[in-house]
Amino acid sequence: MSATVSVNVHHVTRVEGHGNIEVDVQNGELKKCNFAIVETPRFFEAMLRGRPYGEASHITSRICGICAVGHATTSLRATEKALGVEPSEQTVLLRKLNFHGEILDSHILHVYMLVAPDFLGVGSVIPLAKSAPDVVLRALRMKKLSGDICKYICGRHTHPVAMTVGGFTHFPSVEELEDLRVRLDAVRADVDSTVELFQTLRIPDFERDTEYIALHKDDEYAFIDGVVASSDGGTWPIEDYRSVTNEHIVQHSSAKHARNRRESYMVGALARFNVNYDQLHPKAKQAADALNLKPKCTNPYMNTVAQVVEIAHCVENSAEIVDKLLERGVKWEEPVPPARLSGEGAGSCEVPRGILFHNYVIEDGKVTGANCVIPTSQNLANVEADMRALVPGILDKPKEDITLALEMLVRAYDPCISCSAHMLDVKFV
Amino acid sequence: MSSLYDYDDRDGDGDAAHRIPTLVLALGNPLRGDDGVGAAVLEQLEQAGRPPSVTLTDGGTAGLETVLLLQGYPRAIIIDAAEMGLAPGAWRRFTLQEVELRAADPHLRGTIHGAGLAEALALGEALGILPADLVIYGVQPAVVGWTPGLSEPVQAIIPTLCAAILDNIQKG
Repeated sequence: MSATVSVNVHHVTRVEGHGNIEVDVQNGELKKCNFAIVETPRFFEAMLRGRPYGEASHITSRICGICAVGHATTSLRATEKALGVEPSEQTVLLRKLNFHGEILDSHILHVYMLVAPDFLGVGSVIPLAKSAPDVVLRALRMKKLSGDICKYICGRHTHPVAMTVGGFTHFPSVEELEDLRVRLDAVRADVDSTVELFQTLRIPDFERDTEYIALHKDDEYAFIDGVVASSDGGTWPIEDYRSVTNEHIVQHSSAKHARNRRESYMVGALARFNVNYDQLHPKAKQAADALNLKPKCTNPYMNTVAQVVEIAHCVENSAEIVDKLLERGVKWEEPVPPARLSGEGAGSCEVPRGILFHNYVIEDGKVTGANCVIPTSQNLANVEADMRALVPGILDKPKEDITLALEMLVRAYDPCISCSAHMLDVKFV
Repeated sequence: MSSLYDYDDRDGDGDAAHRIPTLVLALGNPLRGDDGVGAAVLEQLEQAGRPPSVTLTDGGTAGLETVLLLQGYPRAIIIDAAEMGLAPGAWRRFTLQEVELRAADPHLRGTIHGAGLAEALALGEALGILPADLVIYGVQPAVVGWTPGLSEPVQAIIPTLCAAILDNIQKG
C-alpha cells in the first residue's frame, strides 16, 4: 500500500468544545493519529481550595452545562463521604430521578441533534428539521420532559439550586410528580419511535476490543455509587479510583489521558451496557434486542445505540421511582448534618459520558484539596487507539469518507470538551 | 401606570388585535447586568395586569427548546438584550425579515450545547412552527457583566418600552 493521506479536522463539529483530528499517513504508514484537545485548562480544583464544603457542589456543577446534575451529585457524594453523611431513602430516590432526567436530556441531545444528521445524510439538525420535522419535534418534546424532571426536583436542570450536602432544600409537589407520571407514560411512544429510527440507521462496521469501565451494583443499573468494575475482570472501591484511571499527560492534549489494564479504556453508555447488561430494565433489554446490541459489543460507533437503550431504561426506571415517591409521599426533610468537619472522601457517578470521580480533602469545613476525573479525558486515549485501528482499513476510500468516518467515531463518544456562552448578535440589513 | 385592561374590548369588537393569543417572551439572565432587561420588562408588564389573551413567560437563558415555547401562538413578542451597535439603552422593534441574526452557529453544525435565541429561531423556521406574527424588541445593553441589576440608561427606558409593547399588543 502506498497511500499518502493527511486529514486535519480543525475543529470537529457537533461535539461539545474544541478538539482536532490530525491524521498523517505517508506511503501507507500511519505517522500521526491524534485527537488533539486544544482548550485551555480551567483549574476548577484550584478554585475549590479554601471554599466552604457547602459551596463545592455549586462550583463544580459549573464544570459542565450538560451534566451539571452529574457533577453536583458526584460532588455531594464526595463531601458526604468525607464528612460522614448518610442521605435518607427519600434523598436517594429523588437524586436517582433527577439523575435520570439529566441522562435523558443529554442522550436525546446527542442521538438526535448531534449523531442522527450523519446517518440521515444531512449536515446538521436544520435540514433535518425541514425533511423530517416530526423527528426533530419528537426530540424537543422528549428533551423538554427531561428538563422538567430536573426542574421539579432540583429547581432547574443546568446548575441545580436545590441539591445540598445531606439532602434537598426544595421538594416536588404531588401535582408535579403526577404531571411527570402522565408524561412518562406518554413518552413511551416516543421511545419506541426512537428505537425504530435507530433500527433503520446503518452503523459502521468496525470492531476493536478494549477494556470497558463502569460503576457496578448488583441490584440496579448503577448511576450513583457502587464499585468500579472492568470488563477485563476486577472491581475497585471508588476511593481507589487513582489505581484505575492512572492519569498521565501527553503532549498534544490539554486534557490528561488514562489507562488501566490495557493501553486505554472506554467509559460511557457502551461501557455501562457491557458491564451492567444484567441490571438493565426488561424494556431496555427489549430495545437492545431490537437494535441488535449484545454484550459484549466492541464497536465504538454503537455507543450511540447504547444511549438509545439507556433512554428506554431511564424512562421506565423514572416512572417506577415516581410511583414509589407518590406511594410513600414526599416529606419535607432537613438535610442530614455532617458528623465531622474534617476528612477525605471520593464520590463517583455514571454521568452521560461515563464514570466521573470527585475527590475532596476537607479541613475544618473548608476544602483544602480536590481532584476531578472527567469521562471525556478517560476516553481520549481510547478514541486515538480506535483511530489507529480504523484508518489502515479505510485508506482506499476518498479523503472525505475517511474524514467523515473519523468525525463520526469521535462523535460516537459524545465528547464534552467545555462549555461556552452566547449573546444575541444582530446586524440590520 | 396604565393597565392592560385599559384596552378591554368595550366596543365588542371581537377580532381586535389585543384578543389574539400572544406570547410575551423575555430572554436573558438577570444575574448578568443589562441581560436582565427582558425580565425587568416582564415584571413591569405583570404589574400592569394582563388580559387572558396574553401569556408572559420568562424564558431565561433557554436554548433550542425556546421553539417549543413559541409553538402554537399566532403572535409572539420577544424581549432580549441585543448587540446592535447603538447607544446603551437604545431599543429597536424588528421582525426576523428585517435583520440578520448573527447566530454563533447558524447552521447548528457546531456544539449546539450552547445554542441561543438565534439558533432556536433558525430551528423554528426550519420546522415551520414560528408564530406568523413574531417581533423582537432588542435593547442595547451598557454592561453585561457578572453582577445583577440594570445600568442607568437601560433602567430609564423600561417605562417607554413597556408602553410600546402594550401598544403593540393593542394595535398589532
